[in-house]
Amino acid sequence: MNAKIERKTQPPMNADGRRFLPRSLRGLFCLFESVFYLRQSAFIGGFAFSCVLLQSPALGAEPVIRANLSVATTTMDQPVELQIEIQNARIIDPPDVAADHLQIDMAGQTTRYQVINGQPAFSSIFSYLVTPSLEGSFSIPPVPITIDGKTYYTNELTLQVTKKAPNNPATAPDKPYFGELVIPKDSAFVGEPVPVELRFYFDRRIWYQPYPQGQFPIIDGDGFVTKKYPDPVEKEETVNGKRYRLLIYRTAITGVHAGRLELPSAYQEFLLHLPVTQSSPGFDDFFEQSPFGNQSNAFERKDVKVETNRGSIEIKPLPETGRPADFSGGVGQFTMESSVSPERNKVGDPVIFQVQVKGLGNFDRVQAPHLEAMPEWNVHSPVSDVTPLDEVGLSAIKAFAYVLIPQAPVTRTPSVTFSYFDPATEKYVTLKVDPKPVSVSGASILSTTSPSPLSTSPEAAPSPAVVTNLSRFSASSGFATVRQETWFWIAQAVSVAGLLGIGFFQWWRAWKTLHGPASALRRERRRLYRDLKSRDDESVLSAATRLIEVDFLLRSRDTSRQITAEEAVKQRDIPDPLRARLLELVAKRSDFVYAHRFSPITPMDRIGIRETLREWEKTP
Amino acid sequence: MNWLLIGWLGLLIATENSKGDPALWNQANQEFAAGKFEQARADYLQSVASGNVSPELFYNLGNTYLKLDDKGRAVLNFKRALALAPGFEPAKHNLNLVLQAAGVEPEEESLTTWLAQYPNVWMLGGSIFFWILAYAGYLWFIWPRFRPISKILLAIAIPCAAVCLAIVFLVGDGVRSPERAIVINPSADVRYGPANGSRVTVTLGLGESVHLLSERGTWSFCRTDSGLVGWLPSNEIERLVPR
Repeated sequence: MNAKIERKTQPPMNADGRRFLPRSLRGLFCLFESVFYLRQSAFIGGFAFSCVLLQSPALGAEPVIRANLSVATTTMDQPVELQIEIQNARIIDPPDVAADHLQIDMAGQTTRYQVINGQPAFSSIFSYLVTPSLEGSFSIPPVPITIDGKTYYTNELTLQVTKKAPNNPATAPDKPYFGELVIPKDSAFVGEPVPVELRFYFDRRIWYQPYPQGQFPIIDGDGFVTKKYPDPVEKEETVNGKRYRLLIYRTAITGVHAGRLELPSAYQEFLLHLPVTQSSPGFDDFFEQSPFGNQSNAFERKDVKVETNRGSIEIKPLPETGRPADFSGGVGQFTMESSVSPERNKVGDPVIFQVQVKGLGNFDRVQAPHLEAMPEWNVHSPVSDVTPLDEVGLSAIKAFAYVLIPQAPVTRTPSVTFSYFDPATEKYVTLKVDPKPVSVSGASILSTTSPSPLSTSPEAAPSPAVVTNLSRFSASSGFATVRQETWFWIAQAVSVAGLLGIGFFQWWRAWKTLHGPASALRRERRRLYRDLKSRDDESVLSAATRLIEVDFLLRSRDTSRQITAEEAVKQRDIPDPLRARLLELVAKRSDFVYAHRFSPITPMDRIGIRETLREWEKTP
Repeated sequence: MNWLLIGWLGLLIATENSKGDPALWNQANQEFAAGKFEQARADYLQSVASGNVSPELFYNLGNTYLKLDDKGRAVLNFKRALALAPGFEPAKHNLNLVLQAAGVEPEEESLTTWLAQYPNVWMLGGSIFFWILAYAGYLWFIWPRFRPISKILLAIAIPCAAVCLAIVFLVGDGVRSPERAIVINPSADVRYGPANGSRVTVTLGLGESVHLLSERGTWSFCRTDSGLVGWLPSNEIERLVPR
């Protein structure tokens, strides 16, 4: 919504957007603009050509009228050029131009025909010489021009006229090059940007280039800050009857404290190519030579430091009276607008509330506008973005994007106020933008003092918890991943051990199945050897007979088969005496067990039995 | 019975330890409520330094930084809260708010981003399914009578283990990687070399993450999520996992 600030009704003029400029700066704005429209030197004439123009479709288009001054600032008795350009219409009689304290004389008329993008364009340019006779700021009012019964107006122009400075180089241009510092105002307020021009004049026959290339002029001194330099503008101008090529640097200075601000000479270094005359080389007598005679094609290179005149400006303090509480340092002329997106929303979902401050002033000091406090809105600090509208950055748009979180159903945004100091009226101005309508639905969360973030229902979901810290503290294992946890690797080890254990168990079972009978036989053999020492003769004989069988089975592949001692003795290839002794032993045991024929066993017999069995076991 | 009692006591002690220092926690919350954000931040940081962390702790710390107008560290701590609890809605909500307020578009959640939020799930799942696969395969060979059961187990375990382990290979430690860092400045220029005059490879925005590869003085060599590598001033990033 537009700011509530009243403005004077302006006469109709071209919609070029400069109406918001203060009166004191409009002239400078026109000066900037004139760069694009000053190429009027092409003169097109001739009857046949005029006939073509008469049939040109461009004449059917809407007329475009522009007026500009060659410079926005001059000194007393130093004329400037006023041009009124009328496009798409034929005007024969020059418009009448008059202004107080300015002598305005018709200087000439030119016509121009161009073909732009295949479309013919015709324009008439009326030139006037404007000579000021007094110091001050003078306005050239809108000039009425009647075309086909309809009246159009030129834009209003302002010319700043200063005194002739005694050290102003422009007034004593006896040199082939010189500099000039143009300050359009005598006074400004702290923080108010003042546009200035640094002009460097060169004789037309001098080729020049800033050195080093891309270097900008330097204004030494303190108590002020300068804006960035845009690219310089080149043009031609006549000073005291001599034509000069002119390089203009534009910037703005801002005084940072009250008092008289003395600006020392600004300077810029240039690389010059000066023509060399045969009779007297160098440029000291350069102007004494005829431009057409006695010249050679030789040039001399020279690095020079071109200085401007000094300047000064009174920096006034900002008044204390009437200073709004929310004034943050903005000085200039501003308007303000706001927008909100989306306009329909739910409680807890953010909306973007954008406030644009537009105008001319010190945008680096323009702080965020003040938003009305509303409990329904949770307001976050805004993000700002500046879009310059001119090359110096005096005119710009500063946009502030606020994130607003609705805490309850609400139908409007907060209102916005912004205060600044207007140097033209020398008063503080407070802009106010009315609230924007919005539609926010949903349950209010204003009364919820400790939202439960653990709730999973969407209604109770923690919405704008940005200002509410949580009081619960849930247990957490921290940032360690399971790979860094000891229990994880213990679990892996247990799994590996289980797998290995099962494998070992399986192997053990298979081994036992394979080697179990042999083991049992070995155990039995150890037991039988103990039985050989028994006093019981039957036990001795039974043990000896069984030992024969066990030894035979242990040496055979099949340990589980049944075999008798007699068969074992017969099957093995052994010496006959040993075989006979073994068979005798087997027979003795059979007699004892089955025939009950007992013959006592003497100790020598026991030794003999053991020796016989040992020989049996040693046989291959 | 005695062993059961000892185990129960151990669990109780462990649970008590994970609750941190309740006095410090309550004090920090009260300071925050009273608007003493500097003190609240100091107390929350002390809790973090003690190692007893929780999503709520980082969430509250993020809110505190937000109140102190330090959006970078607010984003960092909301992301820490989400690294501990990916479904923590308040942290998600506030993170989006801060990013929006800072003019940064909240990053879209891709499949990889989503997978990286749960590194423990994939690691545990991969481990469990791998061992099921191993035991079922073993059963298959040694006990033929269990082959029908082994067949079912293998049919489930093989694809699940393959998927989980592939994700582990892809995301590694995910958001909990100690080499993961977050840009805490509104923007950070990734340069070809560790010098301010070096050419800029890419400019990262607030909250974007990088993978730290090495450090040299005040510069960190890192890889961005898009795969570009370069040097960043170490003071423009901070590790997601606090040291």
